[in-house]
Amino acid sequence: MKRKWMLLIVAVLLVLAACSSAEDNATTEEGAAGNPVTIAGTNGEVKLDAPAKKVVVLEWTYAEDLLAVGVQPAGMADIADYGNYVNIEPQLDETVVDVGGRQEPNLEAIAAIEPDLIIGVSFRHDAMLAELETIAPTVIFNPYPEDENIDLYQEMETTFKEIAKAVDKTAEAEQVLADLEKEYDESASAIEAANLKTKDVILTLAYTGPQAPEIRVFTPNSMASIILERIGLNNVHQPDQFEVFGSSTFNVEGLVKYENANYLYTVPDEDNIYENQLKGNPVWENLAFVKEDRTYDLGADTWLYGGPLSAKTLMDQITTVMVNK
Amino acid sequence: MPGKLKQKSFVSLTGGFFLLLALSVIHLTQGQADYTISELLTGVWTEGRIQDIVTSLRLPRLVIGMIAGGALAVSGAVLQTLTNNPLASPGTLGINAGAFFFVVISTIFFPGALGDFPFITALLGAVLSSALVVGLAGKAMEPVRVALTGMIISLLFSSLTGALQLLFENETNGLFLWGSGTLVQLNWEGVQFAAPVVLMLFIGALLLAKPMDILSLGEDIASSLGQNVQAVKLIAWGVAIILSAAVVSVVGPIGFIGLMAPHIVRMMGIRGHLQVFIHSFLWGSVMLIGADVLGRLIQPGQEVPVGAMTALVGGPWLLYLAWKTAKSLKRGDRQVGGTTKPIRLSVLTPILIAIIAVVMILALSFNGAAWNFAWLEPVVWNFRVPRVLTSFIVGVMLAITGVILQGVLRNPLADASVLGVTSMAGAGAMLLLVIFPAIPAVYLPLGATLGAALALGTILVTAWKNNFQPMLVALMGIAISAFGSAATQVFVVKAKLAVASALVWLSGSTYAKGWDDVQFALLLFALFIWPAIYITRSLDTLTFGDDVAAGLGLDIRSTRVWALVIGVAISTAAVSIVGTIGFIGLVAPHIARRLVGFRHLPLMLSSGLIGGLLLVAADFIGRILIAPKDIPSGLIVALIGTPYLLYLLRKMK
Repeated sequence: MKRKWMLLIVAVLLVLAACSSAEDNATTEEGAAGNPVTIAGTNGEVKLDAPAKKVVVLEWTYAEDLLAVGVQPAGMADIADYGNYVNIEPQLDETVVDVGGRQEPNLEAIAAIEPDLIIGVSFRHDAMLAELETIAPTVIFNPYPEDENIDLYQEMETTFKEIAKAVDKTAEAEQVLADLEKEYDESASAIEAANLKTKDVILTLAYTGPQAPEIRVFTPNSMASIILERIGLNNVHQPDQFEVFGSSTFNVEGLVKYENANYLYTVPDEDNIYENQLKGNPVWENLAFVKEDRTYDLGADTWLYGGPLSAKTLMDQITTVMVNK
Repeated sequence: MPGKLKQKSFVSLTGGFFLLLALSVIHLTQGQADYTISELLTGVWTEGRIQDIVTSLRLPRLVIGMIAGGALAVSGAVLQTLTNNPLASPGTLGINAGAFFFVVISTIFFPGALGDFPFITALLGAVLSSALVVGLAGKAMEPVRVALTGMIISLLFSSLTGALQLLFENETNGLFLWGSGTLVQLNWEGVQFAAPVVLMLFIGALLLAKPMDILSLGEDIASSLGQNVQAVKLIAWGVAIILSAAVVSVVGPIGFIGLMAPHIVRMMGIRGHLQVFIHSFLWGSVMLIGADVLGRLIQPGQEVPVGAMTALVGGPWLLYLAWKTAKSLKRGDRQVGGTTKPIRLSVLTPILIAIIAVVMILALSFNGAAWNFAWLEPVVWNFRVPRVLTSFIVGVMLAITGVILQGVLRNPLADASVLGVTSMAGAGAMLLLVIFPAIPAVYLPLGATLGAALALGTILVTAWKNNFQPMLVALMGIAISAFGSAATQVFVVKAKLAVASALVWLSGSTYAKGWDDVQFALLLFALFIWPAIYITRSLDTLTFGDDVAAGLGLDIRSTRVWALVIGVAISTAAVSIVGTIGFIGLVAPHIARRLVGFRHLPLMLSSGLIGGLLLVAADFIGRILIAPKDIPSGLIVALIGTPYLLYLLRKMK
């Protein structure tokens, strides 16, 4: 009797599971305008029958890439927080649908949008790739390649071009990058003209760790650092080891060896370690760049990790603060 | 003082002092600014960079470490006498976790209002959790029961803390490392706050030494000698609690120092509370500074939480202590309980299935915003249906694990998470991530299996000689569990950003389960259900006690081993699908036992159904509560599970 029940349950479940294999992927949309495109992500080549019109982005950087070529994403993850960290033009449209958190985006919400393409980032979305692919073709990018020979600026450009290709905006993307190059040159001459005491810099992002500040110092292979170099500044931070994320974590002691450089920083308004914890600390106050007033605040919402628009914001901010101070 | 004791005391004091001195020197040389000892020695006397660094960063860190270590050790020594329990300490009694939970609450809801050292909130939390533990553990203060209660209270508070950290990610950003204890200091404020508090209470403890000597003779003798026992106990509790709350409010919860230091002191032959307190303070400082030195050796330039380091050493230590304590315990023939008027299965099963059907229909039809009864629609069929089904099957598996483990250990609190299997599975997965940072998440279960096997192996090896005495195994489990979560923390720091997805997986997630997972889960279920059913008969025999069972011709030892292997195998299978979800295996069998009694086959069937029901419900709640975002169902289960456990403990008088 009891065993019969058990068997029954198992049988029912087995039948249910068997049904699943019958249900195959939805057939891809046909008859859409445009030529087929192929995009290369870390999950291999992704073929689209036509350039994507409705794109769901699960990571901020890639939303920015879309915005740069004038395309609004159809859906996006963590919209509320995006506004706190990323300050770029054009802004995200009101109509963009929130599809949940970046870490565990809501699959049903994504599917409800019926996107032509989903863009994810490898360190979050590799695990759910199979599920995402049942909704729409999915491309995954890795902003932090393990390969030491690829700097993060190159990676940004490559990904940006791939995303632009996916929405048929290759020409626009080339234009954005070309404009950027021109602006680097302009910034470089502005900085040249500013007659800085030194062009050595370090660039940092700080936040409160366990009751004490933690300071990320960007390494030469990071996107932000390469922008510095393009406008004629010199990043003096040389890490002891390859930092795959493009920054080393320091506390205030670690800054000592770079005190002769200029100190470029961004820090959240609500967690300003320079106003709070470090104020009055003799080590901080006696660093040469603090004593000689060579610290430059880039603003709380200058995103150091994004795409070409963030790159432009960063460049503008650096140029403005360094020339005007 | 007798001569021999004097000699031992001298050895301990001078030895401890020189060790502390040596460790302090190393401690002062550690830091991101690379100064050699001679540079430090010459530079520190003159105004300048080196002096600034030493006096405003490194010295405060060293001093707060000494104060915190000493305070925790004394607190542990007081608690061990008070509860007459070698396993007592601010960590094992849940005081640290409670204090930290309150600190997190105040950070989120009253930011800035409480200043830099939220001492009062920490104290409130510490008082609340110790009151809970004492209230729930009962008057007898049975060591194992107290330790288990403390652990459950800790679990309750840390799962609440986890939920809050998830929901208020930005507000609690900086608390992650601190949550494991860290000595980082930027100035002398922490020391200025903690030093007088700790000093005052330490003197208080020294004054209490005499009354506590008398108290340890037994309460009756103490009161016949004219001592106001209640007053002494109350003051002593106060001293212990305030000491640990003060420490938590400055450096976060740091475990195991309070457990280990007094033991080491006693092992060196120090007797009498006055001596024990003084020596404990010294050795507590030595151990905490030592742990901090070690943490910075493991990962130079990075902060490894010092609390994780102490747990890494303390876990095995607790294992040893548990083993020693259990040896002196009488053979624990504890009834697991259960109703004597079982509901007939033919009545109960349809009712359960009806409830499951209702909940499933609910779960399949609602996404947090809209109802949708078209289950075959691709959106629902591809994402919601398999997710709900996986939750159900995994819930069933977890519940069956609980039935087996509780049956074989005859321990009502046994469960994969209590045995440390879950925590070690998590540590194993994280270790894999540290060694191969690029490894896809699908391979994490491999590491998990390894970790779980290691946990089981440890239990088998250490408990073999004692013929798997239930108490011993439960205590081993606590120790292994602590070690596993400490190792996980260290790995988290080592693996940096790659951790994001692993953390979600660790906290248990039924997210994004597809039809592959359903098939995989079914396969594992079909594989394991037969041995599980087969073992129920032996488990029934075991309920009569080892002697009777042996008389009935049961090979007790091999039954125990096989049941443990099956139980752990099923729970590892569950972990490999959804990560570390605890509590289902603990709660479901209890509910079932109150419905169908203690015979294992009906028990397994009904708790399986209840377990499935629980996880489906938890998954559903996590999915809709903050939709379109998602709360890992492991957290929901913990939030439901811990209050039930407390209720259970209260009932198990």
